[in-house]
Amino acid sequence: MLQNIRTGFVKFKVPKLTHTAQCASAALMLGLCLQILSGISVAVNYEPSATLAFHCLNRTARLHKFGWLPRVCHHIGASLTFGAMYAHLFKNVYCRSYSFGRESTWIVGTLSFVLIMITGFFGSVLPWGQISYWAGVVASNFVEVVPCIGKYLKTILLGGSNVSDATIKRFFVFHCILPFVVMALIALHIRLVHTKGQLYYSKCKLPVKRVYVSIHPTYTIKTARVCLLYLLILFSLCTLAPEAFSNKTNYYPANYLATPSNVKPEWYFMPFFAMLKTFDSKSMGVLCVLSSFILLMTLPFVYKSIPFWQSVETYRTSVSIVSLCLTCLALLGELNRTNWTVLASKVCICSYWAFSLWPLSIPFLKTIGNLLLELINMIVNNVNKTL
Amino acid sequence: MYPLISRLFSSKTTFSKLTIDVRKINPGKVLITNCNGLPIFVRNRTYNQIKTARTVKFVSFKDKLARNDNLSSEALAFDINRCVDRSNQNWLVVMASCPHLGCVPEVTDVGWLCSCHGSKFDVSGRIIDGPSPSNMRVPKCSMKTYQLVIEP
Repeated sequence: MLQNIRTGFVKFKVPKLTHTAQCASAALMLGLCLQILSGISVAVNYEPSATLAFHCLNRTARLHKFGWLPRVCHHIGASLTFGAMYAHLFKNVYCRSYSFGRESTWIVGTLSFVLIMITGFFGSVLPWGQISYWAGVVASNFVEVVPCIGKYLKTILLGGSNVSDATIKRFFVFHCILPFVVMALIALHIRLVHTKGQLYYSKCKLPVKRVYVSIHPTYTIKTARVCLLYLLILFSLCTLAPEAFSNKTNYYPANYLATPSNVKPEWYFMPFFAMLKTFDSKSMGVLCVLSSFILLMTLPFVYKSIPFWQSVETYRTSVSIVSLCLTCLALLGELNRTNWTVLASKVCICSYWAFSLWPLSIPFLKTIGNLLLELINMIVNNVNKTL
Repeated sequence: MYPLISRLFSSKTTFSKLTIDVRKINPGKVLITNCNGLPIFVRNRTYNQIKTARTVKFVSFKDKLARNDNLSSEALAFDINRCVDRSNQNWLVVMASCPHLGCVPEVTDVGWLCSCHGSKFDVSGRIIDGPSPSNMRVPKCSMKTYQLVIEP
């Protein structure tokens, strides 16, 4: 055990030129651990029941000493963890960390990303306020579009045909179990990072001379810096702006006879919510979201055809445009559904797909280009012959 | 093993009938009520509203089926096929969840408007505009001397 720790964390070699921004993974890990701690603290005071859930959370927050702290910590911590996760994801896509035989690390990482999103959704329903309840209703209706098993899946998920008391109990159970599955996956992810090593990232076009150093003190100091920054943001937000990420409508208890006018999920689901909202048919929206997750998982295989060092700038530009599209989608998701927002989000989705799938078209373009050249040659030859 | 898995499916709930005295709903008013956890609209329509619902051309309906549990599944979406019965044509009973994603639409003078994704329904609960795939469902119901019985 001690030997493992020694080889994994003391003797482990990392690239010398590690930028502080690349240590978002440390903040993410810290965020997840804090989420589990604050989550346990919230869960022991929580009653998973449709009639009591909303009131018992408020009661704990108002009447117990420091009762507000775990709840606020859990809520704001979720947003910050997702922020760190998106930063980690962007950095690894931007640097193409998944290449050179690190596909398994990438797939395990993205799988845990999807699981964290699902866990986040279950958690967002639990406060049982107006927004929580109706976000749960709207999202669970999307499960129906799965062919053949959709109806059974919805019944298993909701414990009935509609969101009710049985649903909140189930969601509570799922929200408590899934984080440990996520933690197991992340342990595997870190293990894979340690066996397969990290990508040597540099700003210049060509590979530089690689210098690897011991994890301590180069990496540990930078990690500590990032973790301290994370804690600073978390605690200043918790104490100074505890309602930074909460929706005012969610302070009304769930009422299943009236839908509020601005049902929308937390900001970290926004790009995918905007995709669902854009299409008229439910199945198109679900297909779009699912395929974007599958695209994320199979990124190493999609980009295999383009060589690593030759087209670095093209690759980085396309990654930036794709992330810009997702940010635009997130902003459009906040707005009400009108013809203009639908058109704008369709443009965003199209450019998102176009800029992420262009490497797949390279072989086709090559063959088409060759065919065209042959055709032109043939025509020129024929014209020459006739002349 | 089977009992363990079967518990994951819904526990059987007993569906009870809901009886409403409709005399307290004035013409032009809508009552939203709850039957076995499902929200339901009961609308007392005025003469003008029924008249406008009946002047719409059949070709312009987005969903051509009545979606009325009291009639056969092939009944067409004429206003007469959507109200409670022929002697109570001013009464309309529909499930208060938008067929698109289950939000409860807001009541307007000309029908309903879903605030989630902007589906518009006419005064007969038929889809006019928006992403909803079908008309609002009419549950099984019957009327006897001002007593409306709903059994969804």
